[in-house]
Amino acid sequence: MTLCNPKVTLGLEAELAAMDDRDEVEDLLKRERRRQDRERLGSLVMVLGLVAGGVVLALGRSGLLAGETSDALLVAAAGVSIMAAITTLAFRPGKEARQLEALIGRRDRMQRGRNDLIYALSIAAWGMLAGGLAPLIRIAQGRGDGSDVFFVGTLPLLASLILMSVGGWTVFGNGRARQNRKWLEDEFTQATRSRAMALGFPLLTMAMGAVFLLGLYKAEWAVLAMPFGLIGAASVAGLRFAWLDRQAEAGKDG
Amino acid sequence: MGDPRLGSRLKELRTAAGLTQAELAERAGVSRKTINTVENGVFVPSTLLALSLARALGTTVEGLFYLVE
Repeated sequence: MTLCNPKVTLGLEAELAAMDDRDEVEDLLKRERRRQDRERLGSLVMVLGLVAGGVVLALGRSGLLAGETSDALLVAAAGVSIMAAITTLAFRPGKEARQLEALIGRRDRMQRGRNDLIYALSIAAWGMLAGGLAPLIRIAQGRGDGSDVFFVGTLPLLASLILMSVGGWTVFGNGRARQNRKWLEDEFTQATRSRAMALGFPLLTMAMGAVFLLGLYKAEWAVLAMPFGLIGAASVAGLRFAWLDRQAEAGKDG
Repeated sequence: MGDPRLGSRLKELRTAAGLTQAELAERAGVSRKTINTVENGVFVPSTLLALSLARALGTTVEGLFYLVE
């Protein structure tokens, strides 16, 4: 007779509806994570191709690599980057991503956006570093001009931007930073942030120590190594933050 | 972030209340992944969050969490 009780029946229906909802979200999350994995792998390979291209270009220009070898390696790196870019485009957010966005709350949507941006910045920083390698070498050799200095000057700014974003000192809010802070900041974000910074800060200290020691030996090498230390530490903190957040969505510890 | 000494009945009580993780997250003013990590024992909530979760589910903190002997 209890099944005829409207309150019980209504409770059961609500529970079943909630279960359907949960299943749908979990299924969508699984598929979305698979898509993101492929998209991220594509972007990682693309950046690695760009970094390799930058290194080959720098080595070729400085005469450390023969012209033909340099050209062949450059073409290979460009090919890999283009293929990876196509893969990234093929796995860009689609209908499922939009469906998932509609199902989860505003707080999760905004935090996801912030974390994706930190992840993208952390990866893009290596691309910028690859592009800055040739200007860096020119500056270290005393042949750099104003544009080289300007380009290279953006590298420490980028590293700071990543660290500030992970540290919560910069809020990406499309001009609504103060209003958005309440959606972006919660207890779990703070815990994730401290774990990411706890890795990034010692790395930065160690990298700067190594740069200093290198500078005592050869000052121009320290100039070349400095952006690697800055970008390296910042991107590790950024990637750790994004990875911990992603693990949390899957319910695993990082 | 987790602590094996903390036991949780959050998932049990949430499903009994017919709430999704996202719905409970909205009520408690946190993200869905916060609920997910508390349920899975990877994140130990603060007293404030524990109180918010208890209020959102109409129970007490002791009803939600217990010490594992």
